[in-house]
Amino acid sequence: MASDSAKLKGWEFPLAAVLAWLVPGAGHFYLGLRKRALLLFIAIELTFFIGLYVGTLRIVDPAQSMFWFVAQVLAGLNTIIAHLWSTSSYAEATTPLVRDWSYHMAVLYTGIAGLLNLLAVFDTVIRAGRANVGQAPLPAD
Amino acid sequence: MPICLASFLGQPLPVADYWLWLAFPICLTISVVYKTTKAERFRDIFPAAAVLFGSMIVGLALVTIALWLLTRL
Repeated sequence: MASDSAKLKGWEFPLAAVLAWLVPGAGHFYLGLRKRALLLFIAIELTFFIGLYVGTLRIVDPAQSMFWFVAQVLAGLNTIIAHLWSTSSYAEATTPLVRDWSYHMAVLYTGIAGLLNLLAVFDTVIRAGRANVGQAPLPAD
Repeated sequence: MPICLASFLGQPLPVADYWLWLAFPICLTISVVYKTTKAERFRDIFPAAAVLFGSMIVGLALVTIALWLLTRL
């Protein structure tokens, strides 16, 4: 695991960014910022799962709205799992998809969760890059 | 386990009557995530997020009142 103040090797930038995308907060965890990582994980996952609770697993579907699906995918691994589930024959048979208030609020919540995770990915890369360009690292947690 | 999850996340909530209240949790999580990325020290995050959350709610309330008044004119 890298430290926030340590200089990162070239390959660690994409690794930190991919980790941050896959699991919200994982990029910060990789940089040694564990409290921030936990806070980001809770806040982003809470937003995503409130969306799923309001609108069901079926809302993660590019056939319904490609624009919002792109935003949802930014939330990482849980979007991919929810998408695989929502397009399964079992889900299509058992879970209704009704485009009402629930649907729109749920898509908004999950899409915003993805956009918040994009912010976390950018922050991971910026924090990782500070040491490499000679700037003082931000204080550790 | 997947079946339990599917039954938990399998029926949409009827939010038509109270969808406006859903603005509170999303404003809260947006302010926490934003300030987590911006604050230099960890202990600054929660006070700054509380101020941002309050500002967002007051701003949304003012816009709501303005639009409501506009529709009444």
